[in-house]
Amino acid sequence: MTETSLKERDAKLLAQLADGDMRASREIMRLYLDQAFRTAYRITADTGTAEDITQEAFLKLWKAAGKWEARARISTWLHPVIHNLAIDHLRKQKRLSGDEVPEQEDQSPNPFEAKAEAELQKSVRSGVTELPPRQRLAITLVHFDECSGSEAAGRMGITVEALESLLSRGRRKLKDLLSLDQLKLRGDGR
Amino acid sequence: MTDAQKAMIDRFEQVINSYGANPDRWPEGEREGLLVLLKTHPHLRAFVQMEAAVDEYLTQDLADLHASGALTARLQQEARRLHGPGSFWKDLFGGGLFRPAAGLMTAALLGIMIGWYSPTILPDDDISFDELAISDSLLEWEQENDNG
Repeated sequence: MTETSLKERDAKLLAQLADGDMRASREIMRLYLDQAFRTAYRITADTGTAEDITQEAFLKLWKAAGKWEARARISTWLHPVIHNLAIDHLRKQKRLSGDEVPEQEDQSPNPFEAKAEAELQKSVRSGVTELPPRQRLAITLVHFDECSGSEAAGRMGITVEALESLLSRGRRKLKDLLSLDQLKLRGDGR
Repeated sequence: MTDAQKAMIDRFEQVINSYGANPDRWPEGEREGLLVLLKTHPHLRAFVQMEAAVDEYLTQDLADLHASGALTARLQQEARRLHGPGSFWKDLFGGGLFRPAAGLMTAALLGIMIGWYSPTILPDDDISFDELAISDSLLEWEQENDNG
């Protein structure tokens, strides 16, 4: 499918939704929900917050359905919305004030949330969520959401040099994690 | 090696350490020059291979993570609320703008219906003041006063 036909498909789905066809909303979620949730989770590293952010972003999309024009794909529209909501969330937690600020202690989740989070950690592998918030955000924007260096720096409100510094430090830590993983795999293989 | 070449190789390392092995992610203005440098300095491929392993690791990151059924259900419910059958009237009366008018209209309709179906609430038109005045209880009270 070409980029233009993907834009047209998305516009058609949103027009169907605006006309009350609920199958269109299911199809949109099938196409974009997991990807959106992963982006929110990578940046916030918290399931509940990621769900809240994804829900808010999709609610904005549902509201925009009636006025949608085939100028962009849904993902192109959705991801900056998720980035902004996630960045706002991190700012509220003061996790974007400085890279060297130590990680704040999370508020204790209730037992159900803690259990769900523990099960999630067991079932999915993620090196990105182990990085500090600003490195996490930089890598999510550049690697997963196809932002250029200047776009990513602009969204984060920093210079391109500062972004590159965050990216290289993040990737260095990922290399360490990768080595650890490979060591573990070798150990399991024995 | 000249200082300019050394600076360019340093920049190459900096770029792949930041953006990874895929040239599509490298800064657009520098991409072409860096690719030429890579061709002319084969030893730089070792750096690229190392970063390609990190890129691959990132590609698999959270690949198994899916949105929960509860989130999907909530979003479906929101879609139905906003665009499903009857959402026009909900928008009109529940959306805020016409809410006070809708409240007044409902109260007025309720008043008319109560008036229409419950005529006995109001006293009969032909009842006179005298009839009320000489009701049994009033007579008894007057008689008691006279006797006292």
